[in-house]
Amino acid sequence: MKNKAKPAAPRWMIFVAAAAVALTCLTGKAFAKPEKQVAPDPSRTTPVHNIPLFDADGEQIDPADKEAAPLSQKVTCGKCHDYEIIERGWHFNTGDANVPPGRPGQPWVLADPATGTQIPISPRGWKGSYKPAQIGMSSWVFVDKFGRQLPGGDYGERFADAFGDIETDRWSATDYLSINCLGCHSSDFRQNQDEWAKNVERGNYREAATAASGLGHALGYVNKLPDFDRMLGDDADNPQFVPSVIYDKTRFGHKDAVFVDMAGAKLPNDRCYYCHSGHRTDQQEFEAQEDVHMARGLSCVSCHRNGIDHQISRNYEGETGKAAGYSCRSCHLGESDAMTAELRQGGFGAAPRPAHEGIPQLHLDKMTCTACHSGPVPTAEPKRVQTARIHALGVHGIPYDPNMLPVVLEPVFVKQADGRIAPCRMVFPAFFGRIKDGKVTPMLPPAVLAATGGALATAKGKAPTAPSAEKIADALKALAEDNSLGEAVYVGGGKLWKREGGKLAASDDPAAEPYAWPIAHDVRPASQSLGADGACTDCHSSNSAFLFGKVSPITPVALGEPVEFEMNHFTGQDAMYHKLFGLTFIFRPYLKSFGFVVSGIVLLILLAYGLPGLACMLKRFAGRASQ
Amino acid sequence: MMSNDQLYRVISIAVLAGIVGFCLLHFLGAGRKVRSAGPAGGKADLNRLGLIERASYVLMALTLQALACTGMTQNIVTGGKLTGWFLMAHVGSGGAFMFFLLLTALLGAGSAAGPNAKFAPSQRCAFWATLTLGAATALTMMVSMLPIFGPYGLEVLRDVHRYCGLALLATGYWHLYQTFIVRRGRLGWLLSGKVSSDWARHYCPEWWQVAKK
Repeated sequence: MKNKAKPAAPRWMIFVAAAAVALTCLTGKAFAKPEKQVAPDPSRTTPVHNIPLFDADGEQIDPADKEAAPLSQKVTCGKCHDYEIIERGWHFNTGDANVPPGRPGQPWVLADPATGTQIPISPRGWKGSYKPAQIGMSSWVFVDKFGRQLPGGDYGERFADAFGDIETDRWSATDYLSINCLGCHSSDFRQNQDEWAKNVERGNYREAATAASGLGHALGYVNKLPDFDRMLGDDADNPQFVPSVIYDKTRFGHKDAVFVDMAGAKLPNDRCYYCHSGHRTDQQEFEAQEDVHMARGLSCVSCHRNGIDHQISRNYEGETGKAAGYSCRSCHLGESDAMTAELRQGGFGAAPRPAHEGIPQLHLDKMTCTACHSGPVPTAEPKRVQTARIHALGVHGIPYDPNMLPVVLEPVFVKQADGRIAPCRMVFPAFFGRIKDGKVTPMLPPAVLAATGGALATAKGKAPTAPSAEKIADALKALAEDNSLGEAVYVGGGKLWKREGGKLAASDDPAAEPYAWPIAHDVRPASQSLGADGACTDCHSSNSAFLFGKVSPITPVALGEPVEFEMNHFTGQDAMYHKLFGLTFIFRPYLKSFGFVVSGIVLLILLAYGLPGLACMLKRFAGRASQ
Repeated sequence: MMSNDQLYRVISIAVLAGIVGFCLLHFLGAGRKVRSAGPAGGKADLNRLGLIERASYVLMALTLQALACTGMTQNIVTGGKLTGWFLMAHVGSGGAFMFFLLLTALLGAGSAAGPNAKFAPSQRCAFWATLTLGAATALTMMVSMLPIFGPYGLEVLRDVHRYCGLALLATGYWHLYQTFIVRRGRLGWLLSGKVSSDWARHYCPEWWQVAKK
C-alpha cells in the first residue's frame, strides 16, 4: 500500500514563519549577547579581562594620545556589569536613607589636635555618631576628608548633590568620585591604593582610579587651583597643577586592549586590608597574630559574600539580606532560620563544630561568639588600637605615629541592642560644640579656630598639639561671645564641660558617652578563647578583665580628675554580684569534691541496702509463686 | 514551641499544685479517718530519734525548701532560667543540703531497712526515695560542673537535675503531710525525740516489738 503523501504546508504559513524568525534575529533579543550582564557568569573560572578602556565620555582610550582622558571604570566596567545596581551595594549606599543602618560599625573620626577634636562620624547615623550634615559637613568636604579610603560612588557621586553645599563644594573642579572597581577587584600587584589616596587628597578625583590601577600616572593638583573648573579647562596661571594622565603604553596591546588582572569574586585580602585593618600600638607587626580563619586558608570574601548587587554580608547575627547568614553560628553550629540548608545544618566551609565543653547555654544566649573568641585577650586595661580608616594607616604622606589621635580602645565589652555582650572598639568623643534645648551639636575645627581667635593658636613652625585646660577655658570664653546658636561647651574625657565662674565645670551628658562598635576579627584559635579548657575564672573571678577591666576615657585634653569605668559599666552587669560570684569559684573545686563524695557515699548506701532488699523481695515473690 | 524552661514552669506548677491538691483530697477522704483513729496521747517514754538525727532531718527539710524557693521562684515568676542572686543562693543551699542528706543517709539507713525497721513503710519509701533523688540531683549538678559536656549535654543534665529536684520536693511534701498531718503527735517527738508506746504500737508495730524490750 502506498503511503499517502502529507499535504504540504500552505505557502503563506511558510512565509509568516520565516518572517517571524527574521524579525527575532533582527531585534537581537534572542540571540545577541546582552549588553549588561546583570547576573555574573556562573563559571568558577574568573574570566580573563583583555578589554578596551573607555573614558567618561565613552571614547576608547588611546595611550598614544597626549590628551587622553582618565580611565572611567563606570563606563569601562559598566559595559558588562550594571553600574546602577552595583552602586546600591553596601559599600556605596551610606547616603541612602532607605537602607537600614544595621549593627553599628566603625565610624570615621574627624580628629584635629589643635582644637582637641575627635568626632565619630557616620553617614549611616549609628547611635553615638554624627551624620556629616549634622555637623555642617557637606558631601564634598566629607569626601575631601575621608576619600582616601572611600571606594567611590555614594557621597562622591550618587549623593554628592543631595548633601552638597554650594559654598564649600568643588565638584566642578575635582569631578565626582566614581566607584573604583579595581580598588577591590584587581589582582594586579601594581594596584596601588596609595595613589588613589594621594590623588583624592590632591582633588584629582577623576584621575585617582587610573593612577591607582597602575595603567597610567596622574599629574596635577586640583586643590591648589582655587578657580579651576574642568568645564573651562586649563588654568593659565598654574598649568603645572592642571590634572592629566600619562598612560603606560606597555600595558596596551592589540587594538589598545589591556589585560586587567581581575580577581572576580575571589578578592585578595590585601584589597580589603587597605581600608579594613588595624593594629595594636603595643605590638610590632611581627608579634601580631593572624585571624585563625586566614591561617586556615580562608579569605575575607570566603565569609563576606555578595552577588552582583554588592550587598556584601557583614555576618553579624540578625543581619538581613540576600547574602546574610554566614555568621559564626551559621557555619559552626548551624542556624535554624538560615537561608540555605547548608547553613541550617552547620559545618559550612568545613567549619568545625565546637564542643564548648563545660560552657552552659546561657553563655551562648547572652554573648556573641566574638566575646570569647575575637580580638585581643582582655587585659586589666583595654589595648590601644589604630585602624586603617580612622588613623589613615597605609596612606603614604601621613607619617605613622603610635600616639596619633584618636585613642581607640579594644576590647571593651559592651551590651548590644539585642541584649548580647560583644567585644567592641571604643572611642570617646571630644569637641567644641553648642548646646541648645539639651542637645549638643559639635563644631567643626575650622569654625572653632575662626570663632576663638588666637585662643587655640599653635606656635608658628610647630606641629599642632592638644590644647591645655586653660586654653579650653579661654576658647569657651571666646565662643560665649555669640551664644545665638547655643551655649558653648566642650566635650571630652567622658564629660561635658562648661565655663562657670571662670572655671571649667563638668557634668554627664549623652554627647560625652563613648561610641562603641563590635569587632569580629581577629578570631583567636579555640585554645586561646576565653573559658577554654574549662577555665571559668577567665571571666568569673573578682578581678577578671572581662568584668572589671578599667576603661579610661582618653581624649585629646585631660580635664579635671581622671575618670575610670569598669567593664561591667558597659555590659550592664551587677559589679557586686559578680565580685561575689567570682569568689565562689575559689570554693567551687571543694564543692565539687564534696558533692561527688556525698553522691558516692549515698549511692554506696543505696547499693548496700538496696541489693539485699531486692534479693529479699525477689525471694518473697519466688516463695509466693511456688506456693 | 515551648522552651525547656517554659515546659518546666508548667510542669513544676502542675506538680506543686497537684501535690497540695492531692494531699487535700487525701485528707478529706482517707487521711482524716486515719488521723482520728490514731492514739490521742500518752506518756512519751520510748526513745525514737536522737538529737543529731532530728536536727539532720529538720535541716535537710529546711535546705530542701530553700533549694525549692531559690531554684524555682525565678522560673515560675518569669519563665526564665535560674540566674543571678537566686543561683548563688541555690548553690549555697545545695552545699548545705548535700551535707544533711549525707548525715541523714548515714544515720537513718539502718532504721529504714530490715524486718524490724524503725520507720513505718511509708517513711521507708520516703527515705529511700529521698536518698535516690537527692543523689541524682546532686550528681547531675556536680557532673555538669566538669568540662565534659557541651551546652546541649549540660541542658540535659540540668533538666534531669531539676526534674529530680521536683520529684524530691513532691516526695518531701507528701512525706511531711503524711508525717505531720495524717499522724498525730509528731511535733512532740520532733522536739523531745520520744514517743509513747501507744503511738509506736499503732504506727510502727514492728519497731515497737523491738523497742519495748
